[in-house]
Amino acid sequence: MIDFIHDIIVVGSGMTGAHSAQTLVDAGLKVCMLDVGFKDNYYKNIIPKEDFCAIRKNESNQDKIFLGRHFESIQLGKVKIGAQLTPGRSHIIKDINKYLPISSNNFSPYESLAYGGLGSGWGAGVFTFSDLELKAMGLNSNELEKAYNVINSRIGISGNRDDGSEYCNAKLKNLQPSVTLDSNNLLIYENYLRNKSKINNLGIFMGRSNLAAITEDFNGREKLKYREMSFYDDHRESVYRPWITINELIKKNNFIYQSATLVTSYIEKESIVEVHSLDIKTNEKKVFKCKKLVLASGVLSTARIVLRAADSYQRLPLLCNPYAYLTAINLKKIAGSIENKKTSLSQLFMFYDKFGNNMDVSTCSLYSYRSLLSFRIIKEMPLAMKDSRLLMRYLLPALSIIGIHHPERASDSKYLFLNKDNSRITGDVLHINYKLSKEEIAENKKREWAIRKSLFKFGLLPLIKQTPKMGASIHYCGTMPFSNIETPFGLYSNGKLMGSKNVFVADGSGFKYLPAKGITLTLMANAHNVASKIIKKRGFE
Amino acid sequence: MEETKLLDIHPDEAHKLAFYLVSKSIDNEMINKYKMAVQIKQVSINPDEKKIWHLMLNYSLILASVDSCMALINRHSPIRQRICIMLAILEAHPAHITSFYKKKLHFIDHLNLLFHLVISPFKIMLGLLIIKLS
Repeated sequence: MIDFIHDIIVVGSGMTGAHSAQTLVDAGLKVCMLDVGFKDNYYKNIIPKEDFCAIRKNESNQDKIFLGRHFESIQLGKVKIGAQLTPGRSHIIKDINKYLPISSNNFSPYESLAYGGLGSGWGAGVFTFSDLELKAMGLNSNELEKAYNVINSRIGISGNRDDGSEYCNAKLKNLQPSVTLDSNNLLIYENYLRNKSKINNLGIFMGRSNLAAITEDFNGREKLKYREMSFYDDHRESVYRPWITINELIKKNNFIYQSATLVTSYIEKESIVEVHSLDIKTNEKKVFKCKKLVLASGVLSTARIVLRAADSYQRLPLLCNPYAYLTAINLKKIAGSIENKKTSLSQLFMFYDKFGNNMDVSTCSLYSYRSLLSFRIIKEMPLAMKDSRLLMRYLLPALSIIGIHHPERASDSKYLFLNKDNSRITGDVLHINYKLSKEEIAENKKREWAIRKSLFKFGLLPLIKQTPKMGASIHYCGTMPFSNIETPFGLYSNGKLMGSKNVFVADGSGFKYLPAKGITLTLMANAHNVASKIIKKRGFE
Repeated sequence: MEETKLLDIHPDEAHKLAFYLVSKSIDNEMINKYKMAVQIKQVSINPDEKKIWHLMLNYSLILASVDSCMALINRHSPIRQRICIMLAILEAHPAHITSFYKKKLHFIDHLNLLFHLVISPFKIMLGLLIIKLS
């Protein structure tokens, strides 16, 4: 039993944990972060600093980098979620089945116990939300706008003022120049500019990506070197990861990082919160004490902790973006030249604003494909592997992968609940049921069809569409929706859990609506706001 | 912990698959990698496919034909999975980089692709026949 009472305990080291903690630490509060914090101690030491082409040409042990020392990157069978999870990122999902068990027939989510959480493998896409979207989520637009810029000043965002701005960076004041387009994406963008009025008439708008990847040196981090290895390593920290923030916080006297700690539950005792946890190294149960508890362990983990604390088996709602991806060919790039320097991050964003009001927008991120190796695509082609390999040499320079996200609303058929299971370390398992209605499926198909049809105007020939199981978008929210009325497991607008005195939720659990645009920036901004409100209310300011 | 069993891997399997895929021989190191990957991934050939698998390893035309046919009817079968493992290992080796990426494709490459695409329907039909007969 540790009797020291921390001002604040933050649970989790992902995006929301990092940014709520930074705000609290900057205000002088004594903050303890509890986290499991798995790290990669192998791959980061074997990945050379050269770019992808140089590694491919020279590195004799590249199979360990690209396929993994246990061939974990050779995914056989049908495409599963996380196909893009490279060996260097495999620690992100280490032991999740053991410590975060889930049972579901129709939902395959990703969770993480890594240092930096799921943010350690984030694609770095950054989006500000419109006033309508924020209102539907239960967030205050003015507060969020300020918070977006606070986060920008911490992480550094590159982007462009163009047709996509209204959908992704209108609320951001300072932007670094956007990433340089490779020749494939440049051709697509030029086609958009040429056919802009026709494409806009379809409700489709395109802009250069807004990324948490720096194109100018920033806060000791070095600008993107276009190595095309962003899915494998964090060279020079040019792509923002939450552990960059935590590494800085650890240097401060008023911050403690406690690793190997899986928070399981809490008990509120008058003005103190007892946080119950499991030391995953010793399997001992440990208790930490604090004045205020900030839960930032991700929507599903936070739900587990809160339900256990309430000893409740009640259903909570859940939201997750429906996701599909399209493989398309840029006709003018077939058999084209191969560039050495480019980024594997998304280079263009496309928005399908069906109603023209920046609400319920479907969002596409366009990627050039190469660094994940071609065997992943070849195995899905309807040709013999040899023939597909020969064909892929022609198609590779022309290949575009288009990830499509759709907006999502709560319904009675999307929920989770906790069930006892003594065979699990935690003594329970999280059951999830996630079923879209026929109308929702039909609407998403219509949208995908509209996007698919428009691709011809960009010079793209759409080929295969894959629709992974729900959960693949890795965007989750809405388990404890913001509410003005006192409800069990609801959140006040300041992030405080209804029915509690000192428990706050800083992750996306409160969001009542899930826009298709990536929520990561809004998660960070909301976490900063929750922390700011804790500081104000306690009179710490 | 899932139980792993020692799988039956034909001594020439890696070599034959590599030669089929990139028309080049491979060294012992790659052969060992292939065996290790098949073992780790536990890709065992179904008893009813063993006969056809041995035929495929003995006759390159049958290998190409059954692969073509399975790409359409059973893309993720254990047979295709073993071929895919070899393909991944070949791709992640500097000696075979030009089999997957080429700075400039030449006339001979165009002819090679054209030839393979033209004969593909015949391979599919032959593959289907072999699968039906076995």
